Order: sequence, then structure tokens, then C-alpha cells
Amino acid sequence: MAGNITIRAADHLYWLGRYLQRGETMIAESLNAYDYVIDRNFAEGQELFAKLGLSFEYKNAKEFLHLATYGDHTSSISYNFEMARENAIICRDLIDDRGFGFLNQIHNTLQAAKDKDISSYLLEDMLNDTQTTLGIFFSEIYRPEAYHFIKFGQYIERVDLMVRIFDSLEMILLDIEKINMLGHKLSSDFKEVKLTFSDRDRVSILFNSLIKQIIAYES
Amino acid sequence: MVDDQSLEYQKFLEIFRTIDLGKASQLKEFLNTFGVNFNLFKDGDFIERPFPFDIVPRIIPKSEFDHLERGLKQRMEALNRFLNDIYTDQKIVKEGIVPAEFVASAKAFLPNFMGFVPSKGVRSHISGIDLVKNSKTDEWVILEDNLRVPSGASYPLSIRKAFRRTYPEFFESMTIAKVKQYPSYLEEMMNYVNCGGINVVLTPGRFNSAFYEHSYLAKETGAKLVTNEDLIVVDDILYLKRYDGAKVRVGAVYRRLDDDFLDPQFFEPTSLIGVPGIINAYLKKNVAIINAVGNGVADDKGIYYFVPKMIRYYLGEEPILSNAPTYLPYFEEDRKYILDHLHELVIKDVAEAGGYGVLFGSRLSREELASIRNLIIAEPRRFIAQELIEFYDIDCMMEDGLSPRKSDLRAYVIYGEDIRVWSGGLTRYALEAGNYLVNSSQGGGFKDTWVAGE
Repeated sequence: MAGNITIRAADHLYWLGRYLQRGETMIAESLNAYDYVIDRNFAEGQELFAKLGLSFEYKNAKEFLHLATYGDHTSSISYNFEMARENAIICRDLIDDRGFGFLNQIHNTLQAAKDKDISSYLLEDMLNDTQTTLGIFFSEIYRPEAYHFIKFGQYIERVDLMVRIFDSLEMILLDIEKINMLGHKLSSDFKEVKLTFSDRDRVSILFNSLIKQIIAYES
Repeated sequence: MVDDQSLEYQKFLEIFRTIDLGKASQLKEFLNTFGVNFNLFKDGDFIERPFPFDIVPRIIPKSEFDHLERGLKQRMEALNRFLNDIYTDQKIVKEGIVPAEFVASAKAFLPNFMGFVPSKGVRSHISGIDLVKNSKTDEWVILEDNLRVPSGASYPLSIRKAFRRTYPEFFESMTIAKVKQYPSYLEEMMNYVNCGGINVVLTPGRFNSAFYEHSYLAKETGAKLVTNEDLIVVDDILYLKRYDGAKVRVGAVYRRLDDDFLDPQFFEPTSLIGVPGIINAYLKKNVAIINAVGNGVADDKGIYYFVPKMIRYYLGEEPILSNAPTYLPYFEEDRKYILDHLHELVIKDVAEAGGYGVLFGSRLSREELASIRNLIIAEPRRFIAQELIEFYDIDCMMEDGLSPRKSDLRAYVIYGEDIRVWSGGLTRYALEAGNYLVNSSQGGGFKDTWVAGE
């Protein structure tokens, strides 16, 4: 294989994909819930947090948005972009400069707005930038292995989030096809995922362990 | 005094007066967006920060740079020969040119490597030579040779790309030497000394102050960026651990960590960033290490004094570039001079680097002068003293317009199949007026360096 990607770099690329996807979803879902909370439907925001295993109280819509963005929890927008950026910094020699630049800019914007009321328009902009970042990584004609790892991480995270937030197996069927395709590209020994409804309770565990088929962590 | 008399600088100023300075913010934005950082550790905290940048480049007329290039090639040829000699026959010591005590007491001299000649006999693959231009003599003077892990080339390389796009008018109207060949110089050098296998850049990790540079150079040279956990030595051969469990042979390591931390089995046993066994692979000539292990003896501040003598000894030539006038307390005559003129000399601790351990006699109190006097008498090998050179200031764009600042130039020399001087360089400047310390680790900023003219 021409890429010669190390175990460490492969792991960081995979997690870059996961955190980017989680960050994107958290912005979209937080903005969605924000609209409900403005109408004093506080339960909508609390339900979103509950699906992520969190429990928060807030007094108004602005406070909800601040908690979703900067709250001290691993589903916060800020946390996910910080982690995406950390992973990107470590393997930035393997990724597109413009993609890194967009991601870094999202992080810089989040840091600069930390002590202010977060604007939903700013979050909309970040959502666009996140999608641009992902688009840059995947739109290149030359697609080296590095991007397959990012994409693999992104699809694993999509599956995980769809099961947690939407509790739907149907929604992930297309993603499974992509995961199997990428798995084969990255490892000739990759065993295809075939999901049945009886797997519903162990979907997260199943998908979260797939990367171990590709990266030889123990070697 | 500002070095502003050259036609090239005048041409620059002519254009500079017409440009939209508001667009300079795009360059700062570029540095922020792309995380072009030179990070600092302050009071135990890791501070991520862009390397302060000034838009006014240092401009060196081509004819002046040609002279520098000849002098730097000559100096690196001599220093490489010195290293090969000092680790083999030590003729220069036996013939009394360099005192044996100076070599033996140099902290970075590694007697365990006596007799070892690295791949292709090249030791100083990448050198960063620090120079200033003396305003009294109008000549470039060498302040320091860095033959271990000189950093900084990536910053002017990165900003040049953005600057050209922001202010193309300079490049359309002036003849400015290209700099983008630096990574290919590095790659060709790595391939030349490679002992079989791929090239890697070994970084201490993400929290190193120059991590940006490590990843940049890996990307631009096509080498893999690795940390110690990505490498393994089996039967004295170095391998990269690929994600699928395969091991890929490594033939050249551009290491960005000091000798002391390179191999816990050989050097500092507590090193968490080294690769166990890499030195054995190196000694068996199964891998090239860039720069060679033990190079520090040649850029020791005490050995610096002898470089002009080395040039005469090895090459039979007069040095093209001068050292700053330097005195060694080790020699009785010099010691007497130093002690009599402490208040006007610059005293340097040979064990320190990065602007640390530098004392300006004129700024010391009576008590401090007495203290340093006693230290010099007690440990003469530990210090050197230099005349304070009144080097040129350079224009910097400050809030109130162009303002002079002290600055130096780090020139880069790549030694592979042949010796190449990069037609650019890192110009560092002091942020505060009157400060002579320009080092990045002292909070100094950087400028691009343009070699201009036909």
C-alpha cells in the first residue's frame, strides 16, 4: 500500500471523521431544538440531551444554546470541534490544507465567542463550514487512504448517532453499505456487517468495534 | 541604523507606499486560519499562538546574497570536515589547531561515536546559520552555527505563498528569488543519504513548539510524520508500524529531537520520546539520522571561535564570512581582556541556546558583574565573550508606521550530494525597540527574506 499510514495516524484520522460528524449533528440538532425552546417547549431540548445520556436544566432559549455549545459535557459543540481539531492537528500532514483551515476557523470562532451569547446565525455558519470541510475531504479526485479513514469514522458516527437520537435501524441501511465498502478498501480481511432487527440492542457496540478489524492496534 | 540603502529596498518602498495596507490583515488571518504556530511554554502552560509576523520583508540584494552563499558553503564544508575528523582521526587536535580540552569538554561531544562515519560521510545535513549585518563595516557576521535541529524554515515558506497572492505587485515588478525549492532540497538530501526504505520526520509530538513545522515539512517532502510510538527496531533495522500490522523499513530519519532524547537505551533512559534501539540501527548503517548524532560539538559556542581556523586548516582558504570578535576565557590573554572589559562585552554561557544565558555587560549591576567575573574565573570553559556588534536595524510595520527593530537572519544550508544554500531564510526581529534578543523562544517575530535583483 502506497500510503504507509501509521497506526497512530489512522486512529486520529478515524476520530477526526467521528468528531466532525458528531459536531455537525450536534449543531443541526441543537438549532432544531432551539426553535422549540424559544416557544417555551423546554422538553424538546431536554429530550435531545437525554438521548445523549445527559440531564440539564435551563431557564431560557439562550441558556439552552449556550449549554449545547459550551456545556461541560462530551456532546457539546465546542468539545467536539476541539477534539476534531486536535485529531486534525496530529495528522495534518495527511489532510487537505483548506479542509484543515475551515476546521481550525470553526474552532477559532468558537473560542472567540466563548464569553458572549452564542448566536444561532454563527452556528448556522459553522454548520456550513463543517459541511464544507467534509466536502473538501471527499471531493478530491485523488482519494488517498487517509480520506477513507475519515469517511469510515464519519459513517460509524452517523450510525451511532442515528440509533441514539432517532432510534432507527432503517435509517442506517445505506450507511452500512458505505461502511462495508470502505472497510474492504482499508482491509482485505474486513468482515462485512449484516444487520438484522435482532441486533437492535447491540448496534452501537457492533459498529464501534469495527475499526479494530482495520487498525492493528496491538502490533 | 536601518539597512535601507540598496536599490532593491528602495524599489520595495516605492511599491510599499502604494499598496493597500488594510489587506495585511489577510496575512494575519492566513496564519490564524492555518494554525501557523510557534507555540510557547510559559510558567508550565502550553500556549498555542501564531508566530508574530511582520509584513516588511528583509531584502538582500542578489549580489550580496551570492557572497553570503559562497561564505556559507565554505563554512559548512569546513564544519562537516571538522565533524568527520573529530569523530575519526582528530588531526585538527593533534596538530594543535583546536585544543583537545575544548573537544573533550564540549557537552555534545559523544566519544562513543568515535570511528563511526554516517551514510555518505554527511553529518551536517541541515544547518541554520545565524547572521547579522554589522552597521559599522557593512559586512555580514556569523553569530552562531546550528547543526543539531535548526528550526524555522517553514514559516517564511508558508507566508510567502500567502504574501504573493495578497500583494502580487511586488512579484510582478521586482525580481525575487523563489523559495519553494526548499522541500525538494530536503527530499533529495534525504534520498541521497537514505540507507534503504522510506523517509520519516520524527517529531517529539503535538506539544512541541515547532510541531507545525514538523508536519509541514513532512507533507512537503513526502516523508511520513512519525512519533516514537510509530517506529520499532527489529534486528537493528528500523521499521514504521503501518496501520494494518505490516512493518515498513525506514531508511532515513529527519529527527526533530535532540541527541539526549533519541534513544533511551543509549542516551537518557527516562526519555519518553525516543526510539529504543535506533542508535544500534544507525551504527550498523541501516538508517541515516539527519542531522548526525554528535553534531553538537561543532556548534558549541566555544568551538565557534575555531571555525575560521578550521576553514584555513581543512580548505586552505581564508574565511569569506567573519565571526563576531570572540574571546575565550580559557586563553589567559583573552581572559585578562574579558575581565578588564566585562562591562562592554556580551557574555554567553556555552551550554545555553535560544537566547538564554546571554548577558550584556553594559546592563549588569556592579554586583552582577562581580558575580559573573567569579564564575568566569572558576569555569573559564563555560563562557565566551563577544564584542557587542552594532548590527543594522530593520524596518518593521508597527501601529504608528515603519519603525526600526533589531533583527537577525537564519540562513539554511542543505548538505546532500552537494551543498545548497536556500535563497531565502528566516528573519527574526525583536518586538520591542532596542532589544537585541530576537529568538523565537524569547517571543521574537519573523519576517520573510527576499533575495532580490538580477
